[in-house]
Amino acid sequence: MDFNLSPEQQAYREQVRAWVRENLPRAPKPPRRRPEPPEKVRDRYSTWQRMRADAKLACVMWPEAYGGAGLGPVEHYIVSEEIDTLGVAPTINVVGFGICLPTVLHAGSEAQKRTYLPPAVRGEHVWCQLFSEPGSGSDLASLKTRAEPDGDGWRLSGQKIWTSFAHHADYGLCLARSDPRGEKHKGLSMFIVNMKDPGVTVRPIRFSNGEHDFNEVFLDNVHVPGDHVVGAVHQGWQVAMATLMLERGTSNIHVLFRPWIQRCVTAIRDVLGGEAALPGQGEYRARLARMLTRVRLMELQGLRVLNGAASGGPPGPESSLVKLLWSETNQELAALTLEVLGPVGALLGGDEAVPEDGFFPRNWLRSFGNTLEAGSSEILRNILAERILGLPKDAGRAIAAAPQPPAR
Amino acid sequence: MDLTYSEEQQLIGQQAREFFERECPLERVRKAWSDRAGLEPAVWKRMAELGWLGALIPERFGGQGLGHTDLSRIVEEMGRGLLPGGYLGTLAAARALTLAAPEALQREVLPSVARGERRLALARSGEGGRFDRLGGRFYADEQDDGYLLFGEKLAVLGLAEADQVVVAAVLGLPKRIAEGLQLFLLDADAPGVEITPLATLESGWQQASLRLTGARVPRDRHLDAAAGNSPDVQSPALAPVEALLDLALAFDALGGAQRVMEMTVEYAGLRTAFGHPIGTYQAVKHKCADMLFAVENLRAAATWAAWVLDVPPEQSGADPALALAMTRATAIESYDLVIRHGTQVHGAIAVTEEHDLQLFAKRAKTLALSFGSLAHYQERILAANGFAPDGR
Repeated sequence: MDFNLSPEQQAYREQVRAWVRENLPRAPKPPRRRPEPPEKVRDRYSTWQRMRADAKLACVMWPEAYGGAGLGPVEHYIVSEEIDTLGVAPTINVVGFGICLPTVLHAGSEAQKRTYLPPAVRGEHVWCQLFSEPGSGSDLASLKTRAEPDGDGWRLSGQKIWTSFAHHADYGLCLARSDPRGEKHKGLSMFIVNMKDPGVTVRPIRFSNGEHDFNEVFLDNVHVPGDHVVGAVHQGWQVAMATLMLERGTSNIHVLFRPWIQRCVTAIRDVLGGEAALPGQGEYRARLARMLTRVRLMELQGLRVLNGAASGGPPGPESSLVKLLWSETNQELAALTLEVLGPVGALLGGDEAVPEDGFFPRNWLRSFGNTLEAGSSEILRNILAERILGLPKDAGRAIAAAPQPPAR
Repeated sequence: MDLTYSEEQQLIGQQAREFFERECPLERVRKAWSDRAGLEPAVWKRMAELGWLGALIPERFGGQGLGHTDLSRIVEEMGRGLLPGGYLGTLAAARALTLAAPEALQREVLPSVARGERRLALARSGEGGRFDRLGGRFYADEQDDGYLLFGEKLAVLGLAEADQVVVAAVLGLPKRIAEGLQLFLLDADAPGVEITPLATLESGWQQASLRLTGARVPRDRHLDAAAGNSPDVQSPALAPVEALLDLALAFDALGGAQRVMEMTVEYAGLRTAFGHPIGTYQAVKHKCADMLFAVENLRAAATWAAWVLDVPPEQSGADPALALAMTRATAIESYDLVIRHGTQVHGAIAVTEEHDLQLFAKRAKTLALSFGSLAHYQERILAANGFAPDGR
């Protein structure tokens, strides 16, 4: 049992820190005005990503032939901790690096890997994930976007939703039904869609806190060349499942939540631990102690998944525990922060005395999405119960699969 | 980084599970509870032969000199098997002797503990939430040839079967009982020592009340004599012994919670209602998933805490008090959730005396109420994070 990194890994961390010390002053500056125009967002992202790529501190787990550094999951985790948490550049390609491009890396052809991975590492391309549809969220396999054969390629038509950063994206990884006779999981294929192609329309969805990350994406007879299929034709579900496991595996999303969590904890401490503490706030103390413990558990479970990945195993259902932990912890902590702040917690700005220019109520609104995105809490609990505990699939799915009794 | 058990540690766990399943199945646990008899002496003796009673005792005193992680493999299986008896009392008191007592006293006591010939208990004074609201008040009055001990404590783990008891008392007349505690070793049958067995929720732990009315302790049985006869000096053994107890309670909870979860999942897969196993319904399935979530969180915290106790603080980078407080808070909440959900999934059969689940419910609550409440650990977590104490 050893929870520490090896001396070599700690030395790597020191290298990363040294690079950050030297290069942070040269990083693109945060915007003076909000909202920042999209081209400025993109510009800041590309500049910082290029700096990282030149230092071999981007996509470090990928082979060097595709722009990575050929390192392991522990080094990837170290880079996440030391660089991603700095909040220097916008995270507009987080889905690309977390899901789309790893899918290309693991299931794509050699030509696809050479075409798409290196420019993405250098910050030249942004990717989005075209999976969810208005009628197909957790029940993803019921999706209706069609892919019809068209010469040596395909024509895609349908509607996608909840597509993070589609408004910045150059490419989308799209799951569509390529065989209309295939039932549910069969007959789906995974396509690379050029988001600038004719027939692709992106419409913004505003989150309840005013921010814009999500979009609707309309595909209207979009032509996709035959060599843009990732993995085998009609095998898209298998490719997608491997992708979703990656999303919950080595994505280190919980590490990215650290700065937000720390801001909440600090705000709570300023109230509860200071002179402004009011009688009757004992309940908040108990809830905060529980949250602090959850944050620690999140880190420990993250290390367990990392340890599994570092020893060569595929990401398993255990990573669902980490997802439940970061989503539910962040959500509860965001709500607790507002309660502790009291009336001030409902102020969004307008006066310098408003805490953190209204970050806390915006964070609270955003946190509602945490237990929905990247696998809803209900789906995650199904995964834990069925794949780890071995309980049977739920009655609805079992009935659908079972032979029906003859009608009378 | 390596978050797996060594081959030896895996073997210890496997051996312990097989041993307790064979030597102390739940029917024997039930009998021990109903007879208030603790663990059968023959089983205790075999545990000694396996080296478990001297797990943390140095090898030169007949022990195994193992670490906390090694020990945790055994304690987890004790929790899984609901092992009756005052094992934790012997463990804690022997640890106190190892950490504080003069060499001669260690040589006199520890080898026979490791051989299973001597059982111990630990009685600690304390006011405030640490041990319990009924926490003892013991003080030691210095005489020419030693000390006279006075005071009482309502519930001491393992005391009903103990041959000797380590008492934490203040020197002189106390001002505040929580500070300046030093340790003394008393024979259970000495004059001035009154031990009364208690009826308890969990009837296997051999709890008893302790009343000292001028019990005489010679100087060579004052464990902290070397630390100086000053009321200001706290025994250096107390903090690590408390950490050990916290860890042991957490692993006992882990083993029990894991087993209740397994029982519940098995039942949910067998019991049918409305034409399907109840485990197909999400209302039941998600309770099982939450049980797994609780158990795995406890496992993550407890294995980390054991490691924190096994390596120097500069190596772990963690405050042992914080690690143990978080682990115990998680243990209390996790086992409680597993019991509630397990009972609900089982239905009415689980609340009958006939069903085994209620045995685990009693153990879980006893663990949760022993040596510090959830609120106590939560306040310690806040203190370690720089919060001022709750003054209201």
